[in-house]
Parts: sequence; C-alpha cells; structure tokens
Amino acid sequence: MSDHAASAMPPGAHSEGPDLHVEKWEGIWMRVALVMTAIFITAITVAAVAWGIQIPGQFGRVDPNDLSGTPFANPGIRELSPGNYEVYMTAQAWMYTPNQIAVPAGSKVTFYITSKDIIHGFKIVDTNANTMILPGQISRTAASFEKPGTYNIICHEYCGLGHHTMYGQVIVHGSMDEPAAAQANEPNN
Amino acid sequence: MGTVVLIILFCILTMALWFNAYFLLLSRGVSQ
Repeated sequence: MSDHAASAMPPGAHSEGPDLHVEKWEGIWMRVALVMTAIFITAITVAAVAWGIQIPGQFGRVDPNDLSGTPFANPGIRELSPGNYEVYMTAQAWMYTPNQIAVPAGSKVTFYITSKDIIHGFKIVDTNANTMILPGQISRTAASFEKPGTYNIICHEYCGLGHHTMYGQVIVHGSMDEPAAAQANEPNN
Repeated sequence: MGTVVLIILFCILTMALWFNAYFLLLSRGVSQ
C-alpha cells in the first residue's frame, strides 16, 4: 500500500484486512481438503505430462460433404508395423464404417474418425479410447489391446432414433498368426 | 475425538475412491 493510501485511512483502522475468525476444526477440515486437492492435481499432472494420459483432441479437418481424396474415402484398417495399426473410420447415422475390425492381442490401434453427418460419440468399452466425432473434424484416439476378446465400440452421443443401435466391435485374437484376424477385416457389406 | 475419526474416515474414503479410478485409468494406457 502506498503512503498516500495509508495516510487516507481513518483513525483506528488497520491495513491487515477484516478479522475473520475460523473455528479450529473448521480450519483443519479446510486444510485437509486443500492438501488432498493438491495431491490429486499433482497426480493428474504427472499422468498427463510424464505418462502421456491426455484427452483426445482434434487431429485435423476435412470437408464432411466430400471425403474423396482423403483416407476416409476408403475407410479401413492398415497395418503400419507388426502390432501397430491405424484405422480410418467414418461415422454416420447410425453406423461406423468399418464397424468391425480384428487385431491380434498386444496390438496398438490408432483411430482416425470423422462424421459424415451429425455429432456422434466413440467409446471403446474397457479402454481409454473415448472421444466425440464431429462433422468436419478428424478425431484421433488410440488404445492398446493386451487381452483377447471382443471390445464393443459404442456411440455415446445421442444422434437420433437409431442411436442405441450404433455400435461396432474390435475383435482381439489370441496371437499374431491367427488367420481369423485377416478374415474379419474384410468388408462385410 | 469424533471429529478426528470423521476426518480420518473422510480422507481414507476419498483417497481410496479417487485413486481407484486413477489407477484404473492408468492401467488402460495412453489414448493419444
């Protein structure tokens, strides 16, 4: 506080602010809550910065009315290297294309998804892959599939009367050599 | 005494529930 402001204060006033009395145990409760909040924020920061656990975001943009000339003109799964796949997928009311992919256990799959019409959702159950799909936007998310099984992909953004029927599947096979994996990736329509 | 027990219970429950969700998320790996 400047000298001018201090000299303008009325007699008897002090510059230490209002005298707020906080009851002893109320103060302890507040400190406990503050410490836990600090612990949680620190844990989230470590996970985001050190371990790369982040919210999926926008990867790029496309014209939803004309996907020709983009990888979404021929959606499907591509193997980048053994155990490392990318999937270009489109969403529209009320289906994903492709709606079923198959990979061997231990694979990492990166999904690039866009919508042809309205806003949809993309959630692979039991994984962290969880994003919105907007027309005009490419959403990117990835998941590693360590355990064999069938992982359902669900639309979790209400998109009309058929919303509840909009789903896909990731089929994870037991080994890299299983021929069923290649068969399941064939177009099924 | 009752307040101390309540604070301890509050801490244990909050930390247990929060870190349960946290480690579940970590176990599923990166999504980017």
